[in-house]
Amino acid sequence: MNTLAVRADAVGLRAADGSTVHLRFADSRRRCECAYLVGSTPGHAVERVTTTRALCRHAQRRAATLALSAAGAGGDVAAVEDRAARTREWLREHAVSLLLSWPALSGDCPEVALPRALLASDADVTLEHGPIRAILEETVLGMPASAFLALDREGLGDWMGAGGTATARRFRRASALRDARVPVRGLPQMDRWTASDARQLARMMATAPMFSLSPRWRGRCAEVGAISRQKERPLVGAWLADHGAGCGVRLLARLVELALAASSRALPLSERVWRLPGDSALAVVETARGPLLHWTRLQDGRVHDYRVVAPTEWNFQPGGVLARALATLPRQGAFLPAARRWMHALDPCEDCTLEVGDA
Amino acid sequence: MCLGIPMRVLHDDEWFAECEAGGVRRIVSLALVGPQVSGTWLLVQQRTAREVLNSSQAEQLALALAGIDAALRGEQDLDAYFPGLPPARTVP
Repeated sequence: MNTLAVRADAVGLRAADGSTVHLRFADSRRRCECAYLVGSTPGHAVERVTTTRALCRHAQRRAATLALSAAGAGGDVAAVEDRAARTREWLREHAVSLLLSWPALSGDCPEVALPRALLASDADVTLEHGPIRAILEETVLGMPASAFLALDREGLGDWMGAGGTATARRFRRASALRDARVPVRGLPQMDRWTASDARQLARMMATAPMFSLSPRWRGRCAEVGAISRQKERPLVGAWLADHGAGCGVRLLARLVELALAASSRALPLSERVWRLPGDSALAVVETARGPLLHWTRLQDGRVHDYRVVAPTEWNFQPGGVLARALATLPRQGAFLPAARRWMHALDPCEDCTLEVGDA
Repeated sequence: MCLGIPMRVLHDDEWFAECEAGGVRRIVSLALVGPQVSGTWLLVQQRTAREVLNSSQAEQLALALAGIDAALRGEQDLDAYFPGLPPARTVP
């Protein structure tokens, strides 16, 4: 099961009846391409990465800067304090997923207020203060963020049952779905990564051409994203206890992170970097969808090699969480709607389509 | 890896717009950026407009994405795709 190969243009996954499901990304060849950085000066490479990855440019800039600096770029790349910008980038992805994409998938009206407020906010603010927090609490949560985070099993059930906001009503519907349940096998948070782990990841990125599209942690698939970060939180545990590890808990984890940002608790904007032999380095920067890895090797002051693992690849590969979910879905009837719910719940970073083949 | 594509609005209404890039037309959601007039450049991801771009930003991004495509074709000198930056292979 789930042993099909990964290609640059498609991922083959196995459905419950043994048939093949191809997952095609709209821009996969561009997505994994880093040859356009080879030969650049480090400073130039940072600008190229930032220009081409416009939607996650702050996280990309940070990862590139860390990796290139550690590899020996010296003063050619300048670190920029960008935590506020990275926070906005992170929260905007969650807001778009929960309040625009999810309603569209569910046949509801989009809830534009919070995503538009986050898009418009250029100030050095998080959700903690001001109108953005008010929008979240009044129109999405229907209660103070701190109270939402403190809900227990009964409270969570009451919140969904009362249906005071469109988001609460969507979670109520999600809780009633009998879609696949896939236990969370989360990627360890990066503060637990060892130097040996970093060397192993770097070696695979440098030498295995397809590793960037099918990354493994100590040889195994692992899930990334908000659920991987928040699975120990009591509110997430309350959902898991009553409704299991389906799509809903992956979405709830994202809402939890929005609420955390509005309740004086910082997002886990983690980052680490390892200097490695041969003027090479690995940097990892946490993003809304999971860890973003940049590995590079310099030679004579220029980029000799560069590889990236995007967060999406961990979840959307053979043996990954989407594949595990699809492998339990019956092919008859509601397969495609359920598969689309799972794809949305796992939040790929680019447009992808499912094509169902023959057994 | 969060690749957004610059697309130009051809026809719009309140929630959706028909957009074009490189001869390809798509219906794009305006839910995030709000109504936009014809001719506006948008940064589009997953059929949703994510940002409004000015024409200079759109041109820079389109050229940079073409630079990735050129690298895929094996081109070595990509400086022309990244104007405004010092040449990659001549900076000491």
